[in-house]
Amino acid sequence: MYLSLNWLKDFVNIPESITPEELGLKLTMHTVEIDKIKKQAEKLDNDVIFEVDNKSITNRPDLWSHYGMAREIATFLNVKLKQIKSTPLPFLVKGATKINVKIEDFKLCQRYMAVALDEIKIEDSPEWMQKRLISVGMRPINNIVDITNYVMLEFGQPTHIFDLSKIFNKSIIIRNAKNNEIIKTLDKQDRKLDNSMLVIADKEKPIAIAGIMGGVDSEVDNSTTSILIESANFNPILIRKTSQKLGLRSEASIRFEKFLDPNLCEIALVRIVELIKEFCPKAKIISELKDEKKYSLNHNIIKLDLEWVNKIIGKKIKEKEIIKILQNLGFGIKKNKNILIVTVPSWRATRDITIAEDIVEEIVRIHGYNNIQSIMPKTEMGNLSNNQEHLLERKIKNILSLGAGLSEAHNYSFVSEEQINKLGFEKSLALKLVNPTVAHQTMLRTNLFMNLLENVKCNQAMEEVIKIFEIGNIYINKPGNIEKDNKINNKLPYQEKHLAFVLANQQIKTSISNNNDLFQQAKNIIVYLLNYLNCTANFVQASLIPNWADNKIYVNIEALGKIIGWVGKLSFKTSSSLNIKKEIVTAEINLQELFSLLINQPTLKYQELPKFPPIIRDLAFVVDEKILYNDIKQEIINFNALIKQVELFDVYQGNKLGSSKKNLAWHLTYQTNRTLTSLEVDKIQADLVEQLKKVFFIQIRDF
Amino acid sequence: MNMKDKLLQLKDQVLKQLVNTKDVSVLRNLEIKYLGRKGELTKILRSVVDMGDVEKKDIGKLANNIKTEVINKFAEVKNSILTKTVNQSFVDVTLPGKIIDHGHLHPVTQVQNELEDLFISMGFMVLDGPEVESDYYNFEALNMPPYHPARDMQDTFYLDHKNKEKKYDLVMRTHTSNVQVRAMQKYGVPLRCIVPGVVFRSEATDACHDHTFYQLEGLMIDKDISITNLIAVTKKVLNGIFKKEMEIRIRPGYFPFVEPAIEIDIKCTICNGKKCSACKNSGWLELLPAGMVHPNVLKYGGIDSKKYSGFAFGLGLTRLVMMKYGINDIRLFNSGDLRFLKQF
Repeated sequence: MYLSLNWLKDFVNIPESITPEELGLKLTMHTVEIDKIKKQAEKLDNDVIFEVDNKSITNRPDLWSHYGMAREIATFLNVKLKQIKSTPLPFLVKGATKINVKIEDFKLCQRYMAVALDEIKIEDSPEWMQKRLISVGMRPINNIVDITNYVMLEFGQPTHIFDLSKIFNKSIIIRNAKNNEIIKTLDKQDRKLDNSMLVIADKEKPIAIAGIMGGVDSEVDNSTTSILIESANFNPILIRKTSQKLGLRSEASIRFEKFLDPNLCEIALVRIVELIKEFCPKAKIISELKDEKKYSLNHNIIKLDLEWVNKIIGKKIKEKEIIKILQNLGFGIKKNKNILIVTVPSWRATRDITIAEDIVEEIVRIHGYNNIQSIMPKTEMGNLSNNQEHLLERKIKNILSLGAGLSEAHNYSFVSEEQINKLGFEKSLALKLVNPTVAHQTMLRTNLFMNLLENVKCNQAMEEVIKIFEIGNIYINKPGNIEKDNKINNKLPYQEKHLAFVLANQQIKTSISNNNDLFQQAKNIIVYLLNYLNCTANFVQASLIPNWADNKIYVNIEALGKIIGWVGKLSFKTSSSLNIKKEIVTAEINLQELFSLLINQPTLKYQELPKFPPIIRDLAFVVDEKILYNDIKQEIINFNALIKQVELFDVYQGNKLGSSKKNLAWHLTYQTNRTLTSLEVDKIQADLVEQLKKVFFIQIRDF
Repeated sequence: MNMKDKLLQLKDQVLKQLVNTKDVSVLRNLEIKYLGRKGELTKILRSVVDMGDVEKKDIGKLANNIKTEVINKFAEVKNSILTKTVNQSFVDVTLPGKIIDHGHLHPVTQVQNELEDLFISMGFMVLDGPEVESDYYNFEALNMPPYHPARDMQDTFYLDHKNKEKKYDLVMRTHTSNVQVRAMQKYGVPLRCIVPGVVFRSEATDACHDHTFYQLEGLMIDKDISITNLIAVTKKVLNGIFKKEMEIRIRPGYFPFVEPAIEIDIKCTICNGKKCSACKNSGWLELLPAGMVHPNVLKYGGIDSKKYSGFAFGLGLTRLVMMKYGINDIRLFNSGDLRFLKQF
């Protein structure tokens, strides 16, 4: 909204010593932020325009006008505000034209004032009014339309003027629209209505959408001579709903939806008639004044305990100052010992000010927040429940970045349908946005690595090796375990924290690549991470291999007996469909699962140092490549209780071994609570070899 | 030549050769030649075993003495050679250290960690909350019933999910304030917590706006919490982040879930208050909307507003990171561009 300094000066004497910049700053510091101050040209009377931050006054219907702002200025400058003389309406005319007004539902329209005038001459409005309207960004149209706009900007009350001759039978009814009723609004658009909306109608048709926009059929035009002025108050929620449904916001609707003071109807109507008479001296009132209303002006009375006020502010503000501030703002004050009985003025009482805290705000903002010292709170020390999951997350980020050399990326929570399709994910599991801002971000991610692949794409031209991780939420379209609202058994969609990383290296050369170095690297990172967190990682074969993965190179990650994630290589087919030119291995871990495993793990306990030395023996053998490490390891560790540790230290595959064979080399640690002899260990190891020959057909390799 | 002469001759020979030795590898060869496993001196020593008793005693003693002398001489020569070499060879001490490759934490994570530590030191808990949130916790419980005009302040992403009244009732949370009532319900009073996290607004993106960014919510509820407390705590935090006394200004704001509501601005870190484009020529940067928790919100959280009061604030974390590092395009944060990420 724009404010004209000249206009404000109609209502408040701003001392010459205060520059527009100072005034703008004071408004910012006491009332509402002024975004910009603009000086107008000489032909616009050297006016100064203040641009108000609209978002900060959605609670202040009174501030959508010059008079309301003038009241604020008068208060913080502590100068006089020009009072609006509410002259009784001298409109009762004998032998008048009869107009009818009927409100069907006073909940939707609590007041409707109307009066008819004749001998109107449509022409341009006077120069002074045009200048003011132009100054605040409004286009002059003709004297009658300009007057309604002017009065709206002056007092904040939107009004509407109909061409009286275009209203059937001079009777209007304020009613709900009929379903599929159509009205052509002033912007020349056909609007299809429904019965949740409110219209002003004559017997035949709707002539305006209440509080939003008038209809073309009853529009004032150059040949208009008689008019009907409407000054009404409509239900703010109804206005807002209708305006949202129709996608139609107007200067009127943004004011009505803020809960306007119904008393304003009268002030605005008086002012409009006054201006019409000034511009069209021949104009005369031809009807009686209609004032259909059913409302109780809720003059809130709030008891204000001054001691409590000082406690909430944390500073003692003098009673005299408090009273002065409130009176300047239009509040009524009565005193009863240490209690102020505060009457809220009608323009603040519709919704804005209802509780004592609201009054505290009035006092403290006019007093000035910067006049309050700062004092640290005094509180009791409480039981601190530290967020273990959060600490673990931080630890994991540090291990991955500082230890394993990965860089942390943040990605949007959104993905495209195309991404989901290309990777072959179940689309129905992804939540969908109703109002996405761009076409490639319409769904919510169901995993993290989808977007990490996009990161590879954006970096692949510049970086040879790419190592990125991300920690963030994934979202699934099925009920989770977080309470949704205050109703029982309502749950939010499933969302949980995941960790994912990608490793990318060199160009893909052929469709079949035996290079599983990256895969090994990825596993190394997982083992490193989990070791750091005091648990061991196992890799177990997955029963289902997802579509996007190379079906040979994909495995589940197991920690503390639970599957917590997977690591896999992107198949050539997937890479090329995504335009990825590098070899990619990616892993994803369910952090929520890992957190709960780690948190429930017993604390690390010191192991007494062994009293008897271990004996370490190496063992190397050749075995069919399809025989799994996990199985062999299990066999060895279960073979004899003296075998305490089994560590694979080398894997070799090559032509020398013959096709589809691998050589595995192990360190076996024998240990117990007595001194072991070489002979004893040799015997066990020899038996072990026999056993392995039997089970896995191993061959001891002759070096 | 008898054994004794042979030994003495061998000794002279060795010592003479040692005097002329200037190189460690030559020395090593000599060592092997005479003292090695098959060395000349070793051979003689070994042959002593086969001698007669008298001879064995004499020659054995002599041989051992000579061996000791030779070994000592070797050590002495080696030492002197090494000392000389070390003194002679030049070391370019300015050669660079080898870079040990490390990864990088996202700048938002780094600043977030700093802030968390700051608040933890003042006894605040760090909480998480859902990012897909109900209309109830994101708006209604924060004193923004349906059709409240203040909902316009935040362009909201709705999810394609309707409730029984056929209304969209799930949103991408528009602020971390969604955790306020959840925290009150879960932990009760007194309460001191922060909630760092990602929030969403359905806005078109440009260098200054993104539909996804980070906030850090703060909430403190206790007996006798006042506006001066709010100002003091936020000041402490700002000084802690910027590591100097920050100049701030406080002005009224409007958020339905606090009353009174304030905006805390810091003096523009780019122009230091001289007015520039970064601060829209005001000299101040909007950083911290805050206020006293509205009694209605306390009520939703099950807290008696007659006994307790509290403050809340919503720090613009992403904005703070931009200020701290002078980042001029907000879209870089979610770009995954390693040229950006590796700078931190």
